[in-house]
Amino acid sequence: MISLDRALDRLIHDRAYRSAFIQGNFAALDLSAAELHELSTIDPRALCRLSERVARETLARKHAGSGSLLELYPNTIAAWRQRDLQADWQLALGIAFLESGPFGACREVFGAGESTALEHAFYDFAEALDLATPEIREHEFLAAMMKLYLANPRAALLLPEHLRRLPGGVYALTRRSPLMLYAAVAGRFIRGPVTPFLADLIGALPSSGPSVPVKLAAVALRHGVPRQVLEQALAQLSALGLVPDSGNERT
Amino acid sequence: MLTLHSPSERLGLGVGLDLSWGVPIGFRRDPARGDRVEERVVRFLAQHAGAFAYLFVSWQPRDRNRPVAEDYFAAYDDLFARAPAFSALGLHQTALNLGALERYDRAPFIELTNALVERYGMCWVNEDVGVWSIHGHPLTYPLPPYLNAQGLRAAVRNTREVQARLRVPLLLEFPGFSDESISIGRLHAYDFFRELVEDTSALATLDLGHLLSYQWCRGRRGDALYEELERLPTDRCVEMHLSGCEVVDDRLLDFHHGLLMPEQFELLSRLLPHCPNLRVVTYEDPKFDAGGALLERTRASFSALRTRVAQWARP
Repeated sequence: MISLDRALDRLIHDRAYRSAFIQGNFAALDLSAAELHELSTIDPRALCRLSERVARETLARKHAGSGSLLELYPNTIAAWRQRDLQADWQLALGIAFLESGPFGACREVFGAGESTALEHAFYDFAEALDLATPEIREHEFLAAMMKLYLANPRAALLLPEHLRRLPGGVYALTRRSPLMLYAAVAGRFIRGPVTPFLADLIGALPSSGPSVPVKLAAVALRHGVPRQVLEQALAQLSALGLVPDSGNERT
Repeated sequence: MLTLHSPSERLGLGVGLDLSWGVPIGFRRDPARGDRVEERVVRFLAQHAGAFAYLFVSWQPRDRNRPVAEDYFAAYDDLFARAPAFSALGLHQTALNLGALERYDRAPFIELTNALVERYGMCWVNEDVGVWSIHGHPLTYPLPPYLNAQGLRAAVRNTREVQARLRVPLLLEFPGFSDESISIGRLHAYDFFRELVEDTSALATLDLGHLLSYQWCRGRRGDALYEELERLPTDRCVEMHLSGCEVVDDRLLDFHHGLLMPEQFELLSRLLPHCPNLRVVTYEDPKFDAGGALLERTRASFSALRTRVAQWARP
């Protein structure tokens, strides 16, 4: 048996559960007779209006500094529109997202426990449906996450496995297309192609505290890069804010 | 500290502003110059200096960072530095989630609220007794609390938790039952609210649109909308809210669009004699243009409310 609050959560966000309730398939609701009695005061039409509004607004709600899911995932969502020919494609997409596992694991409200970001949940949802191409999904996801961290550097969110912390922010490297750096550091959104050497060099930077010169030198050695080039690369990364001032020690 | 035993001065008419971020009637994030309030808000308040004795601001999250009061100081400083003086200020919270059954970490929000209250000298904090989010998922409009014994116990527990840490009184607001929401449980909402207020020794806010919406969703119409008022904790009511409501396709909607219904005025007249501790009647979410002028279609509502409240404040 589930609790009344869990049932309400599912009635609003889970289409199959809501349908079972409206159609009177009470055995599927996993509720005691007493709780079913309490829920029977719900007007099914009002419930449907509420769940539809939540579905639309989850996609359209603008977040400070980054925008809505509709704005952050234009190409991924365009692929949904091509696949789903319903006139109200946005509602269909919203309902499908709300009933997905990634959305269920997401906690947007502070105080309800640390979780993945809504933008991350939508990416996982799109991955499961194979919307657009893997490359497009990855680019839109990384850009969305960087915008999120730029606007919310103290967000209480689980860091996606793609992302790494740096003293001044976060960064990620594409895995599905030619190497591209995405970063949110020192109040700046950074996106641009990088060489395998630069990617490894960035990967050798610590998430906090000063850089360890010997580790950076080892990366240069592995790539056959002379010290002078290493120092130029570090200077470039420092100018971008990727290497903190205290970490600009040279080998 | 506000108590029912302190002199119950009638403040008169108040104004409540829901100041979200990035909207015309709200706050603007400005990393370069510092966050500030939109000009039209200042213009509106300046043009109505003297009309309102009280101002409350509805707290809305600036971003998705861990809530910290210092993040709000620049914008709130700007608002209160440029707004005219008021006899009293209040804060309408939107994050306490007093109707929730599930456990929820309110400590950061209470800490933030205390910091704002102390910095700006706010006299009380108000929040609708509702379910504002469920298991971390925000809702588009707060749902009423669970109207059963379990829901009442949870609301009492949540209220006491907040009261224990809050440095000013918490005003419990009767929740909305607009068509935007759904209702669970069989307790009469007026009884639920009265028992909650009495069990927690809280003070109350009566939102007249919310009261009407409850009776409306029970199928009441005409004079029946004003029945059962004796079931409300009117003696503990210190604030009333009137926000724009409208009936569309026989559905009462809590639009907050500035247009008041005749039924709200009728209910106001019926309630006033039963609220001996009432301090302020608040026009919630007036709508105004970029110059700060009330929208033409809402002026009659404002004027009528101002007249009616003046009669009450200076009998």
